Amino acid sequence: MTYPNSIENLILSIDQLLESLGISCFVERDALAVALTGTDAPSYEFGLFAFSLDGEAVLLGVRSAADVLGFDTAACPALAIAPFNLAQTQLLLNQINKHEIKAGSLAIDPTDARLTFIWTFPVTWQPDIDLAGMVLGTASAVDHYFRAIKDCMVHGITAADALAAHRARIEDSAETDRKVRRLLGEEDSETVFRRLLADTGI
Amino acid sequence: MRSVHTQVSALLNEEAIPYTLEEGVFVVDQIRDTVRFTTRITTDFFNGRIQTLIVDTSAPLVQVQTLGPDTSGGSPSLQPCEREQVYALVSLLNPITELLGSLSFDSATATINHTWRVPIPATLDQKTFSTVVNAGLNSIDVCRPELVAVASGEKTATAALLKLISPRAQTDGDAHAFSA
Repeated sequence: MTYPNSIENLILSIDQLLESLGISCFVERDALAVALTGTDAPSYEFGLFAFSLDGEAVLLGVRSAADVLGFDTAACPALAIAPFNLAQTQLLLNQINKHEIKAGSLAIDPTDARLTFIWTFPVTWQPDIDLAGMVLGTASAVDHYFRAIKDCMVHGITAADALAAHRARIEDSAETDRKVRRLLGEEDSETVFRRLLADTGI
Repeated sequence: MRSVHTQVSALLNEEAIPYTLEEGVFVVDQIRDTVRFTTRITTDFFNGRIQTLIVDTSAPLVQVQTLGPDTSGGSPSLQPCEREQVYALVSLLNPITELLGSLSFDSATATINHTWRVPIPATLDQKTFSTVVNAGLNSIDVCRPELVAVASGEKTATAALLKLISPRAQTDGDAHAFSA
């Protein structure tokens, strides 16, 4: 049997799962929303919405958005970003969407110039805690790439330089993580990779 | 429980769809500092509209890739300003909810790629699989002609977007997805 049987059930199920993680959401009939605090983004909106596709499959949409510019762009969002900065931002977003992001896509919302993440996918099974974790994890792309996008959009840094700086930050973070794991006696990813190779006889 | 890639292979076998299977490919993901174990299935599924079906067994996610070099109609001799138009159009279309998946542009080959990665249930049935894949393909078919026009330097991003959202186009049924 295909699950869920209605859009309302899907949203309510996920709301309950998020509640169990200590995240209280504002729930409407076919959507829920909550404000989250990021590591790099001061705060970002996280939301889920559900819709039906030709009356058959129910799709779940994940949307998160963060204000990068720091001022109200409602009057004319198209003019809020300098042309060079916008071109570099689009170049960077293209690179992120093509090579880096695991699912969904990042974009600058043309209606308000906010950094927006969107991912839609069909849900044909009972939502579980793994699903809740997955949507929260993917939606955090807005926070993960916030500094790189801001470098392009606001500071006019080229897409290549912004991406290089982003990767350097990730490498620093990964190195710190490896050191902590070694101190705790846990396996780092290199050790795991060597063990996988050994297990498969390669 | 059968693995995800075994299930996908079985579904393709049931439909007698030819495919090549590259199983057990280790992918070292330096960006996320992880190692993934993937299966790459290349097929002409759905009239050749899918180029690659990648089952990432670590997630698990199915990744449907379409609009390869043969179908995008892009011109490798695009001028920088024309490339900017493609980046602009891709950037404008990605936040549209009705477009399932994401678009990206490879300037080296002037290829627009459409990728939709979806999580799949532990047990995958033919109906679900077909519904998912068709939904992704239909959503991109709506804007395929305009993408090709911009990628080949024939149109600007603005002109293509106007065509996609214009009332006449909606009446014609070729931009219904963007009518909301």
